[in-house]
Amino acid sequence: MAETYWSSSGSDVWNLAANWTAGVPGAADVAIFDGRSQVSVAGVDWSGGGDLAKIRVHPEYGGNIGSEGNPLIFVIAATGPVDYRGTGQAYLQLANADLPYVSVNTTRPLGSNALHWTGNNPRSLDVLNGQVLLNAASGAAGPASLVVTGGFVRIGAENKTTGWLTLYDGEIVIEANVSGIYIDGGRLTDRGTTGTNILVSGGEYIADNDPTTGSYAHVTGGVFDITRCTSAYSMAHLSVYPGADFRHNPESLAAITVLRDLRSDYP
Amino acid sequence: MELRRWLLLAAGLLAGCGQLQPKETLKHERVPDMAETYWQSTGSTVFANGANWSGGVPGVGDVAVFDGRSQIDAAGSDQSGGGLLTAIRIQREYQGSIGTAGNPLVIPVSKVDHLGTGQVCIYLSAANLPDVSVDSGHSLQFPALRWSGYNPQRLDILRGKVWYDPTLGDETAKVTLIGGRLYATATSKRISLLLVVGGVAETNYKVSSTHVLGGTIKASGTTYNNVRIQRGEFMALDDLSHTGYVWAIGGTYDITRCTASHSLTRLSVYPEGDFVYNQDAYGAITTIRDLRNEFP
Repeated sequence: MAETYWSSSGSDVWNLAANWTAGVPGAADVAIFDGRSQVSVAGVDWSGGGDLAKIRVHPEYGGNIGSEGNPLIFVIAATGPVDYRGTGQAYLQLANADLPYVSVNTTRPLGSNALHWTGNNPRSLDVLNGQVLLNAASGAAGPASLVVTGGFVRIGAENKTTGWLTLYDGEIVIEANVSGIYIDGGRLTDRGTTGTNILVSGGEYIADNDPTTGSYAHVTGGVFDITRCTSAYSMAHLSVYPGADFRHNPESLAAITVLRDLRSDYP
Repeated sequence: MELRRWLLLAAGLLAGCGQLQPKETLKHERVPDMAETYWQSTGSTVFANGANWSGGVPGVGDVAVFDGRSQIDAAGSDQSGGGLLTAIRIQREYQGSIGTAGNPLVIPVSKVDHLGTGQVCIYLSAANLPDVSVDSGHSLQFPALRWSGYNPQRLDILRGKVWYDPTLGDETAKVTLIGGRLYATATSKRISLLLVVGGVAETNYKVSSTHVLGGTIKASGTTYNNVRIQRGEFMALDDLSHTGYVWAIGGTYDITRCTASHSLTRLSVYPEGDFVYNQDAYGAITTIRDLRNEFP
C-alpha cells in the first residue's frame, strides 16, 4: 500500500494532489497526518475515491479534519483501521459498510469532541483518551465492541445498536441501544434502551430516565444506581454481590422482577 | 356514628399499610407462604423418612431447610418422584453432608442455597433451571457442592469449591465466581457467560463468553467465543480454539503453554493489559491490535 502524507502549505482541499506527498489518497492507500503540515482539511465527499487502507492521525497533528455539518466522507477497506491521535477535531463520515477498527487516543482536553463519527458504524471503537461522539446512523448495527479505557464517549441517539460496551475508566453516556454493558471503572449514564446484560464490577452505572434494561444485571462491585428511575423502569433479574452498592427508590425497586441480593444470607 | 368513623379510619390505615408493604418487603424478606420443613434427624440418614423432618418429607412447593438443629448427614437417594421443591436451604449452622459423589441426592428443585460447611452432592432431575448459590466454609480441597444432572440457570459461588458437571439440559446462563473455586468438567454443558471476580476457575469445556474481573481462569480443551480480561489472569493450558475475540484491557492473557495449533481470530491488548505468549502461539492469532503501541 502507498503511504501519502498531508503536506499542505495552506490549502485545505483534501482532493488536491499537491497537498499530499504522494498524491491524493485513493484505493489501498494510507492517509497520514503526521504534523508536517498543521493546516486543517475541509470536509468533502470523497466516497468515490476508493477504499482507503488506513487513516492515521499522529499526535503531532493539531489541525481539524472536516467540520460540523461538513465532515470528511470517505470509504475504507475492511478492518481499516482509523487511528486518531491528533489534538484537533475530526468529523468523519463513513460511507461504506466495511467495518473498520477505530481507535482514539488524544491529549485534546475533554469538553469538545476529538472525533465525531457518523455514517456507517465501525467494527470496533477503542477510546483510550479524548472525547468522542458516536452517531453512526447508517450501518446495520453499531460497533460490535466499544471499549473505553479513558476519556468521554457519548453514544448518540441515532446510533445503531452497539454490541458490547466495556468501560474500564472514563465516562460514557448512552442515548441509544446497547446490547451489553461491562463496567469495571469510570461512570456510565444510561439514557438508552435494552441492555441485555449489565455487569458492574467497579465504577458506577447510573440509569437515567428509565432505560429499558431487558434482561440481567450482575453487580459484583461498584455502584448500580437506579434512583433516578420510576416504576416504568424494567429489569428482569438483578444480582447484587457482596461489596457492591445498589441504590434505588421504592418505585424503581419494584420494577425489578427478580432481585437476588447475595449480600444477605438468603437472597 | 363515632364508631363508624373510627372503623373507617382503621380500615383506611390498614389499606394504607397494605400499599406500603410491598414489593420491597416481598423481595427482601422470606415470606413463609410455602411449607418449610427442617431436617431434624436424631440418627437416621434417610431423606424420605417423615420423622426426620419437622414438617414431613419435603414435597411439591416445599422448602427443605438444614439449619443445624440436626447435624446428621442425609444420604443420597432418588427423590425425583417427590415433586418440585421450591428450595433447598442449607444454613451456615449445618455441618453435615447431603449425598455423596457416587450417590447424590436426586431431586427436582427450583433454588439451592448452600451456606453449610459439609459436602452437598445434588443431581438435578428436572430441567427447571434453578438458581444456585454457594457460600460455604467447606475446605477448598474438596467440593462443597457437586452438581450433576440438569444444568442450573445461574450459579453463584461466593466461597467454597464447586464441582460442576451437569450433562443434561442446556447451557447454564451465568456462572459467577466471586471467591473459592470452580471446576467445570469436560462433560458438563456449556456455560453461556462465565464471570470471574476472584478465586480460581478451571474450565474444560465450552464457555461462550468469559469475563475476568479478578482471580484466575485456567482453561483447557475449550472454545471461548469471547474473552474479556479486565483484571486477574486468563491462562490457556492447552491449544484452545478461540473462535472469537479476546480483549486484554487489564490483567494478563497468557498463552505461553500453547502451540501453533492455538487459534484466535482477534486479540486486542490495551495499555494496562499484559499479553504473555510464545512465538508459535503468537503466530496463530489472525489479528492483533496492540493498543500499547502508537499505531496498532
